[in-house]
Amino acid sequence: MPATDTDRQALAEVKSEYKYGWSQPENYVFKARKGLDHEIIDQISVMKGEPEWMRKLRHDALDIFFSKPIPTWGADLSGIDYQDIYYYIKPVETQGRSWEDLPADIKETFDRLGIPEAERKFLAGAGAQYESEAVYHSLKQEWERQGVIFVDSDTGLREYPEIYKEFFGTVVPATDNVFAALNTAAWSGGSFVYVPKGVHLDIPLQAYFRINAQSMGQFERTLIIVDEGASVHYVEGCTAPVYSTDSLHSGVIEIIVRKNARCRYTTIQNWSTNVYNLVTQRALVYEGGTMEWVDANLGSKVTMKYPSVYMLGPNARGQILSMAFAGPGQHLDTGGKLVHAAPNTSSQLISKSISKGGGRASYRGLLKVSKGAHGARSNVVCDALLLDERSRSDTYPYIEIDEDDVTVGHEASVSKIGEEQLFYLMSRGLSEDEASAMIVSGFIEPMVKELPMEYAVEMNRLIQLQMEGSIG
Amino acid sequence: MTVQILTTPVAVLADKKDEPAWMLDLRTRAWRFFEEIPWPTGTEETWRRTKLTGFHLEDYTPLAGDNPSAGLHEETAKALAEVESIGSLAIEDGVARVRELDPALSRRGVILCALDAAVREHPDLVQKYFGSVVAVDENKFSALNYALWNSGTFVYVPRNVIVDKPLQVVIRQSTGRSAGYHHTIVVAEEGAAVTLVEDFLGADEGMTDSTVELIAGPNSQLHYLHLQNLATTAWNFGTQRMRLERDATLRHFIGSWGSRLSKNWINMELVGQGSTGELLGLYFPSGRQHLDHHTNQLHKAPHATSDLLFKGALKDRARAVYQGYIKVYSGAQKTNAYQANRNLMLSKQARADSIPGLEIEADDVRCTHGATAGQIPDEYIFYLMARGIDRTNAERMIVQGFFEEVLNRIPVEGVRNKLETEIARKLGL
Repeated sequence: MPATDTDRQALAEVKSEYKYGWSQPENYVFKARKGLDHEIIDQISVMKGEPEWMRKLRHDALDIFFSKPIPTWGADLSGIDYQDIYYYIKPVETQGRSWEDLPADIKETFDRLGIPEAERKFLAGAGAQYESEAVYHSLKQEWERQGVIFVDSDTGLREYPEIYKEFFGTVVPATDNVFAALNTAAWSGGSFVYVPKGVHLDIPLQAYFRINAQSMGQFERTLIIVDEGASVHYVEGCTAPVYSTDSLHSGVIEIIVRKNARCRYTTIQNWSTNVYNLVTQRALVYEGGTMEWVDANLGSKVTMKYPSVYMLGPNARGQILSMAFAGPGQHLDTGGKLVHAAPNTSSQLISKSISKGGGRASYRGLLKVSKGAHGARSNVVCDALLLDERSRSDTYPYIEIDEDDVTVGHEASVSKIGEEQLFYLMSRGLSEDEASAMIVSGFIEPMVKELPMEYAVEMNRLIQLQMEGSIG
Repeated sequence: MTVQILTTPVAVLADKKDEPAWMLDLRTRAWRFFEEIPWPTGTEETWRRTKLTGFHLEDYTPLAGDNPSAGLHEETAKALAEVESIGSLAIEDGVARVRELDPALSRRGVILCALDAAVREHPDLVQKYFGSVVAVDENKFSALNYALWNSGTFVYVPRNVIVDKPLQVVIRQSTGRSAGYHHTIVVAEEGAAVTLVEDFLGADEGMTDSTVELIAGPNSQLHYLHLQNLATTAWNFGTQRMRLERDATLRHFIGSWGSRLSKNWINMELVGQGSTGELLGLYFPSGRQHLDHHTNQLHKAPHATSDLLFKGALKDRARAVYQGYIKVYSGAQKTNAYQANRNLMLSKQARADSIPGLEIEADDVRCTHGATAGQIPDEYIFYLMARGIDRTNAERMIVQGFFEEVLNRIPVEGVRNKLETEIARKLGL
């Protein structure tokens, strides 16, 4: 379907505003028509050659989507036209773009961010020439030797139908919320990870390892199962901004952490600022298991994302590190949910948000201790930094306690960059910009230090870029 | 809604023929709002945690104000004696029974009277302030109060007049399934100072729906203590809003002990530069009591400070809901705003929800909030028992110590003593 003039115009506007992003030329082998109905859902399922139960699940989910109201308690979602979206685009097998084709300013951004060569090429859509294919290949062999499964979701469903049938939609059912229903109906892409008992993966699994990765799909669907005593770190996204023509991204991430297992899921979200990013991420954690979400949100027009940890077994642990940097025109409504449903469970949530240039960062969280979860301990700390008077910061923590033998606390503070701090740094020869960037970097440091090293380095550079010229 | 309630405003209006036209108009307008605002279904954010299951408004007949008993009820008399005041008012079932005010204050223009009397005696003042703080359509229950108010307090302190001892109002509602709609207005003009204690008692199997409007004029000092000591069979709804003008100081306290279910909206508007507001709350639900407090600290002017501290202990199968916001509007630079909610869980079956929120649109501010929930730490009990105090007394001391932080900030000794007694009673001592 050819793009209309208004589409092109809108796109051009977005691109011109978006100095670090780029777009890929349309080159698809299959593209469903715009809109959402049972026929489209059927097409998606047939195109993918899915089993009957999945097709039925999609149809049921679509009915749920139509029956639920769009939430009004968070960010403004009234701008989304659900019938004006392509719900399925099958990308070409290999993306034939080379590094040399990229515009100079994007290469420069990559240089300034210090993104490794291999990653740059992937980001540039030049994945087919991914030079570290050999590295990836050896990693793949290592995973296979240990019995680790790491494939895209479509492959997962095709090759491991029994696991999918057993677990798909059990952590985040279609009935959970309207966007989980939408995702269940239209899902495509994402990863399937299974880590067998006792296997510890030292190197993080990164979505971009997969060469024709669809991990940045519109309705990605990821299922991660960490078996007893195993551990894994999964990294999604990248620091560099990602241009997307899709106005709506609505992923569902389901994670099962079995007894004494450990999972860390790191997201670095940096969509271009035309994207509505509405994601449901949830982990079920059994006895002695640990789930850690590291969630950094920099991009998108609107993000609503509250990674959650349901501690279902005794001594389970949950940790959420959440960061949001909201710039002009952005509303990032993020946070997390910690649900203590078993005795002696513990959790921690640290949220850091920065609002700048009229941006709005909201923390929204739930801390719940169910009846019987005695000995639960939880601590929630939210800090917000406002960089100018046009910006806005909100904190909406929900605390529900159904038990007496608990220790829970929530603290939040909102402030601006202290004049004394600026003065101190400037008296030592830093410019105001540099000093501000340094203070912001220090502010998000507890979060950044949890990122893999190369991401942490990039994140700090990105913050510096974002901060340039922001004061004054 | 049944036919009975629909006819009520007609009856009320017919009954209030002696009221000025503006008041009758306002009642009619409020009734329209009441009908327009949908009945809470439990899905609205403010009603998600407080359900009105089992409550049917049509079961409650508004107080007629024509059935006063022979003498003052002993509870009313006792409550009056508890606070050493310089002026007092007792209202039973909507009828003023006692009205006393130090003549020196009267001479200086201080007014303390029932609202219906104020409408007759000071129509201009009432017209100026009635409905000036709480919007008629602020919520369904405030609209209902404006339409049907049948009891009320009016306090007016003129410019630069200092009322150095507390004024006290005791409101008691006795008859079965009656509905009391009490409306309070307190005005402290520029440079004035006043403390008002309002004590709500009785209510039997009935309901109370009160509205409180507090106006703290420039550089004034206003203390308002709201004691809710209703029977545990009564339903309670309350909307309170206060306006702080330039350099005003306002301290607001709510002590929620009674009622089967209580839903309170407490809103502080800091509209004047340099104003300082304090919001204090104590609650101690037991049995199956459900107490809900919803607060707003609305910073609309620069250089203002607000400080909120709500502390509650929960026993048995009690439920407490605290939901509060600090909102700093654009331009309200140099705001200092604090908000803390602490819950002490004394039973496994009790449940406490705490939702402290911040919405900040100015950058040069200092805002913090915190919420905690926990039980009495074993170490504390151990420490006291090791010093020869038995467990029951150790627990009592700890709970009293927990409340002390708020009690110490209550400016009226009689109220502090009364609350300490109530805490002891709740603890079963």
